Amino acid sequence: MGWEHTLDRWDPYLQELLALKADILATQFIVRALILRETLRKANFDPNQPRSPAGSPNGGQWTREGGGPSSGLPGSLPQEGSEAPAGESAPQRPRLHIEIWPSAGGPPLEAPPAIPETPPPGLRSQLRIARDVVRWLVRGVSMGHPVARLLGPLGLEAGFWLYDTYEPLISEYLAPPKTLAELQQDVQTPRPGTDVHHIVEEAAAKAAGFPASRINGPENLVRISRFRHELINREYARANRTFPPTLRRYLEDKSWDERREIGIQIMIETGTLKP
Amino acid sequence: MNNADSERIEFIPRKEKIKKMTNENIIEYFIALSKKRTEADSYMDIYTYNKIYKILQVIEKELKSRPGDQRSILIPLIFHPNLQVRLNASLATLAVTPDALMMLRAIAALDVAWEPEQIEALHSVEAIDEGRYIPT
Repeated sequence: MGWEHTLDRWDPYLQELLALKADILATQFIVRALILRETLRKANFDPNQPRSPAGSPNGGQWTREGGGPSSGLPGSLPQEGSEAPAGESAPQRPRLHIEIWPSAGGPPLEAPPAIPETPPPGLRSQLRIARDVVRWLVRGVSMGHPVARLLGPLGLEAGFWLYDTYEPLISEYLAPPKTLAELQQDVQTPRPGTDVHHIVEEAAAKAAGFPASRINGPENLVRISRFRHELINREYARANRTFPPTLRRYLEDKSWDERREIGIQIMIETGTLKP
Repeated sequence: MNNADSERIEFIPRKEKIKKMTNENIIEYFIALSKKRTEADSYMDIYTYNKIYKILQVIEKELKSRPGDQRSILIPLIFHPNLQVRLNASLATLAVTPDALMMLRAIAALDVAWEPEQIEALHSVEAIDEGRYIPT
């Protein structure tokens, strides 16, 4: 008997899962709305900022070239481990009040990540908050909580420093997956919140003796969200039972094509590449 | 030590200490470790993340070795509110209850690509379905 034939006794959980996809989309919309609203609020908002041409993948959206709403953001976000830009004065921000739909209850959710009113010292701590905010919000919605009820305890009203500094990281994290051709094309255009990623891992490929021309060739390079890049790296390093001891070690004696196949698969699984 | 380092996770009992734990203590410890694993993931602290994985394996072996295969005490945790606890409990009880695989499939079906639990569950389910991993 296949597993799907026994799922009827899981009805409550299945209903939760069925509601999930719609809720995730709603969450992404709301977070983007928050980011957009905050972006528009910036004093240096320029309605004449160039936009991507109609018909292009991002047709109609603002581009970051030439300043505009995002020009106050760091052109190149600091790397984790570098000195943090933290501890600076806390910006005064208007409070957001968003009611999306009435409360529908839901199962208990763990305490939200605390967002202090001023950035904590240490880039590592700031990045942790940025990661936790998105994950907690998504997890909360997946457990059936209405988004409006999640925003309050998250302290988003007080957490604008997060968006001021890390908006590119968060919005790139929430961006939909792209085709391989799009990701490869993006390599030529640096964007805040993104990294260039090697589909076949660079260090491991070098250690295995693959030529640099292949490792750093256009076929092997893509531009992806930095947070998703971290997820991919974690998947290679994570101890697990299915590719023991870690995927990175498991691939050590594998061919280029096998490494590439798994690299592509992980990009799909982490929501970076369109299936 | 800078502020970020001071936030690093502290632990860990040794194997002998786990051997001396009661089933009840092990359940509490299992939950605490799983939550710390979530925290380690937030910091992208793969060293701690993997270290906890190894301890969870020690716990699993210890429970299996107890009379009557006591891994079954982890079955209720399959429905714990914390997703990491659910995942770890499901992986630890695959050989003792069909509910474990059901939960793994449910977690794997979550459309939340940034959840490490979803990816780990997905890989586990694939490995089981392909016969690469046989829980014992």
